[in-house]
Amino acid sequence: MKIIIDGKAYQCEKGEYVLQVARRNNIYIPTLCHSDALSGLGSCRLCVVEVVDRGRAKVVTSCIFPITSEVEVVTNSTKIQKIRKDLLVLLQARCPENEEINKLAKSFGVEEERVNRFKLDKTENCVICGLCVKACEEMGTGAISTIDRGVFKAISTPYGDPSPQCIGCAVCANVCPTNAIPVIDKDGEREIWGKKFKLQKCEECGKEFATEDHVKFAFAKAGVKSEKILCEECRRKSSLDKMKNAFPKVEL
Amino acid sequence: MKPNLNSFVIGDPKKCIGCRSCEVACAVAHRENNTGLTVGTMESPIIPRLFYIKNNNSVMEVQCRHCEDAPCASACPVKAISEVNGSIFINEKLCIGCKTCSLVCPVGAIDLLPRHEGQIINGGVDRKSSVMAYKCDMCKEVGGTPNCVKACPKDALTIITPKKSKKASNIKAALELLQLNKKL
Amino acid sequence: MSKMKTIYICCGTGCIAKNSKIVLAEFNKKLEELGVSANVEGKEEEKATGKMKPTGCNGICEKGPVVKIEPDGITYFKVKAEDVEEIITKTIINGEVIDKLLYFEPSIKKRVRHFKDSEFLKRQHKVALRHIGEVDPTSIEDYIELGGFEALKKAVLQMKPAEVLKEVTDSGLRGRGGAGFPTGRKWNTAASIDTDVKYVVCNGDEGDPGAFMDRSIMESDPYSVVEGMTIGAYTIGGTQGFAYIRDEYGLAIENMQGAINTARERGLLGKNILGTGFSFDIEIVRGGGAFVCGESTALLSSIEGKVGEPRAKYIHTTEVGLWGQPTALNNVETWANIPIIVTKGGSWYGSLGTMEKSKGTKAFSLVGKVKNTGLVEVPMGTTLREIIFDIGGGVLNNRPFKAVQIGGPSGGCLPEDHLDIPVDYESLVKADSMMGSGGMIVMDDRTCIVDVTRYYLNFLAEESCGKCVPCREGVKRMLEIVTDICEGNGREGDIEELLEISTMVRQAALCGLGKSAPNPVIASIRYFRDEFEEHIKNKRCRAGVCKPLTTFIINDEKCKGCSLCKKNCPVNCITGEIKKPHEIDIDKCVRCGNCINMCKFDAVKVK
Repeated sequence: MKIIIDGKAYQCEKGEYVLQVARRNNIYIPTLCHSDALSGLGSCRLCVVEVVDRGRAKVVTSCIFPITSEVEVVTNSTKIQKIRKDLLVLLQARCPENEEINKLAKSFGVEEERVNRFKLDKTENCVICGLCVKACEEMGTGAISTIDRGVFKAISTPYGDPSPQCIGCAVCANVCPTNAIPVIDKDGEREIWGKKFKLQKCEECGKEFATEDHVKFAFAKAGVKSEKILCEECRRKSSLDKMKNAFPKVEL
Repeated sequence: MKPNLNSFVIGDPKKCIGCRSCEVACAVAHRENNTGLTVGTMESPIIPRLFYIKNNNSVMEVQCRHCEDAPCASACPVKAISEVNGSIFINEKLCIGCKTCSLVCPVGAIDLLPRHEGQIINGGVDRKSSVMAYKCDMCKEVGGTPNCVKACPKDALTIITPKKSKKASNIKAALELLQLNKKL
Repeated sequence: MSKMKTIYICCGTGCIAKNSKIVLAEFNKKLEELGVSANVEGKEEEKATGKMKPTGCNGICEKGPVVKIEPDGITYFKVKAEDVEEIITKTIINGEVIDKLLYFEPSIKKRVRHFKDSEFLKRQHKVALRHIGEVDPTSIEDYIELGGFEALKKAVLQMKPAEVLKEVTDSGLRGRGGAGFPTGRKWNTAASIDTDVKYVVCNGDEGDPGAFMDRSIMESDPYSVVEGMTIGAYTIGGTQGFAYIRDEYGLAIENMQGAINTARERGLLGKNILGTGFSFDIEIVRGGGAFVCGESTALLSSIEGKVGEPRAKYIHTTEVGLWGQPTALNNVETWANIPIIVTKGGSWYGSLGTMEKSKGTKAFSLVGKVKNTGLVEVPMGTTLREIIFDIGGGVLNNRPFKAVQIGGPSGGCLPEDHLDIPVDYESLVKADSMMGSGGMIVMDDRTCIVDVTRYYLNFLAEESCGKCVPCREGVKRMLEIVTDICEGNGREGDIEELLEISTMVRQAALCGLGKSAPNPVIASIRYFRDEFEEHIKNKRCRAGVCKPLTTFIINDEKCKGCSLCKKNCPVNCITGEIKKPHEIDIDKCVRCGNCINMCKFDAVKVK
C-alpha cells in the first residue's frame, strides 16, 4: 500500500511504522528514545508527526504508529515544530549541562531565557528514556529499572544498592543517548551503578578488556570454555601463529 | 556430519603484506547507498569487518570462520546472530552492542565499533553514537564473492569451502596410496 | 392486616462515618426490648413490627444518618442513637411523625414528610443509582425483588448477542468514566473479533478527588454491576471478567465479592449460566494505590501483574487488550446502566435527557462549598445552575459563588457566567473542562483559583506515571510556575509560558491523563486570568488564601465590635473594645482566615 509523507507518496507494508518508512526514504524525523533493537518505548515524543486520517489530523509518535490505511503524514508543520521545541525546552531544563541535549536543543532553536526561568539541576543527565532498562532486560540480567512515579521517576538498581545481577557489561551506557551512565575504569576495576568489578586481564598481554563477571557470563551463555582468557588482539595473534605453523608447505 | 560446511575466507600470513586493501574493499561492500567517489568521508568512516594483526614479523587479516556451532550466536542475549544461507550473520537492527559475542569468539573475529548512523537518522546533529558488533558476513548483503578476496593484490585471501577441500585431500590420499602400491 | 414496617437505614461509607452502624445496633436492640422486632417468629398480625434493612447511600450525605420508614413514607435525617427509642414508640408503633427529624425543604420553607418530596430528589432521575438506598446490598433477594436479573434472563434466554448490542447502541450510552466513548461502538469492535478468549473489565479505580459515585454503586448495588458485566460478556463473547477496584474501597470490595459469590451460587454467574451453556466468571483485582491505574491501558497492565504504566492506544484495547486479547473495559456506572437498558430498551434510555449526542443520565458527587453535599443523578442537559442551586441548595453559608470544578484533575473550574451550560460531554469540552467521572466541586469567594490550579498540578505531579517527557516534565514545570505565583514570585511571561507548555502537553502526551493534565491550567487562565495577573503584578490574592499575598483588614464602617473574630484568633492579633471597630495587627497575623470566615457583618476583607 502507499502513504503520503510531506506531499509525496511512498510504498509501504501494512503494519509498518511511519518512522521506518520515513527513514527508508531519507525523510528526517528526530528521535531520542528510539532504537531499532530496543523499540517501542515511545517516551520522548520527539518523533511526533501529524497524521491526517479521514479528514482529521492527530498528533502521533511515528516510532510506534502502525500504518493501517492510506493516510497522509506531515513531519514538519509549524505545530510539530513547536511541539519539538517545547519538548527540548523541558529537556534542557531537566539536563542543562548535558552535551547531547544541548546539541539537540540548539538545532531546534531553543531560547535560553525560557530554560533559565526554571530551577536547574546541573548534575542531571538522564532523560528517563528507558533504553538502559530495556537493554539490561534483554541481556537477561535485569539489574536496573525505573523507580517511583511521576516527577520522582528515576532509573536505579533495587533500593539503590549494588545489584547482584549486574555484570558490569555497560550495555546500558552504550545505548544511553545522553551519556548519563558513568562507567569508571581505573586501577584494574570498573565502577558502574555503585558496584565495583574486577577487570579481566588478558593472560597474554595484560590488557583489561571487560569485567570478569561479563567474561564468565559470556562463556556460560555460549556454553564454551577457554584454556586461556585472551583479549581480541591476542586471539588474533594466536590465529595468525596457528595459520603460519599449521600447514607450512600447503598451498591454499 | 552436514554435507555442506559453512564457507569462510582465510588469510595466508606467508603472502599477506598488510596493505589493507581488503579492509577498504570490505568497507565499500558494506557502505549503504554505494554512491560517491570516496570510500570514507568525515561523516562515514571506514569500518571493516576483518582485522589486521601483526605478530613476530608476520601479518595477516583475521576474519570470521563462520563456525558450525558458532559460540557468538549462542552467546548473543538478543538473538541477533544466526546462520543465514551458510554464513553467520549479525542482524544490525537487533544488536545492542553488549560485546558478549566478541568475548567468546576463539579467533577474535568480532570487534565493537561505532554504529554509523546515516545523515537521515541524526538530521545533521552530531549525536553520540553507540557501538555495535561488526564481523565478516561473506558479503551477504552484496551477494557473490567476498570483496576482500577480489581486492587482495597478493592473492593472500582464499575462500575455503570445506566439502571441496575434504574431497581434494581424499583424492590426494588415494593417489598417494596408488603410488605406494606401484612401488610395492 | 399486617403492620409490618421496614426501617431502611443508610450504611454507605458516608453515613457509617456518622455512626449509622451504631444507630442500626441501637434499633435492633430497642426493637427487641420493646417487643417490636419483626425478627421474632409468631407475632400477632395486628401489632406493628419493625424490620431493619441496612442500605447504601441515599445521596444526601450531608444530612446522614438517613432513616426511611415504609410503608409510611417517612424519612428522618441526622438520626442519632438517642432518637431511636422515640422513633420506635412514636413512628413505628403509633404512626406519628417526629417533626424535628424531617427534611427542611428550603424552597417552601417547610419540612417535608418523605424525602421524595424534596427538590433535591424531585429534580433527579435515578437510573444508575436506581436501587441505592432501596436494597440491602448484601441481599440478592432484595435485588431480585426490585427486578434484578430480569435483564440477564431476557438477554441470554430470549435475545441474541447482536440484539443486545443493538439495544446498547441505540441507547446512546457513552462511557461514564470520563472520556465518553460510545459503549455500543466499543462492544461492537470487541464482538466482531473472532477468537476464543475475550475479557470484560470493570474500572473501579475511581481516583478523582471528590468523586464517589462508583464507590456508592459498588457498595450499595453491587449486583447491578455483576449483572451488567455478565450481559456485556454475553454480547461480546467474553469468557472471563475482572473487577479492578481500588484497594482503599474496603466496603466496595467486600460487597462486590459477596455479590459475585452469591450470584455464582444461584447459577447467575460462573459455569453454564441459567443452564444456557454460556459461562462467565468475575474475579476482583485490587488496585495498588495509583491514580494512573484508572487509565484503561495502565489498568490492564496492572491486572497483568506489571507496573501500571499506560501505553499508546494506536491499536485499541478492544482489539488487543488484556494479555493481547479483545477486551471491553467500562466504568462502574456504565455497567450499572446496562441491565435497565436491556429491560426497558435502548430507545427508552435514549429518550432521557435533552441533548443530541449525550443520552441518558449522569451521576455526580456534588461536594465542596455547597449546602446539600452528596450524590445526585440528573438527565443529560440539566444545567449546572440547577444542579448546584436547585438540587444542591446553593453555596454554603450563602457566600458568593465563584466557580465549579468538574472533571477532577482532567477538568477545569467554570465561572458564574457558565452556570447555564447544559451538562453533556461536548459542551463541557468546549468550555475547556470535561465531564470526567462526575466529581463536581463548588467553590466560593474564599477559594483561590491559582491555589486550586496548584493543587491539581501537585496531584498530577505525583500521580503521573512519569514515562513520557511532556507529562512528567511539563506538569513539573507548570507546577513550579504556579507555585511561584502563589508565593509571590510570579513573573512577567509566566502566563504565556504556562499556556505554551499546556498546548504542547495536550498534543504530545502519551495517555489521557497527560493529555488532559493541562486542563486545569488552561481553564483557570481562560476564566480567571485577572486573578493570575493580580497575583503576579499586584502580589495580591483576592480570596485571602495565598498567605504571602494576603493582608486582612477590618472595615471600620461595617464592624459592629461583636468581638467574634478577636475571640477566635489563634494568635490574638485582633484588638478592640466591645461595640467599637476592631483592628488586626498585620505583623502578628498568620493569615489563618478565621476572622473573615466567621464575621457575620462582612467587615473583614482582603486588602
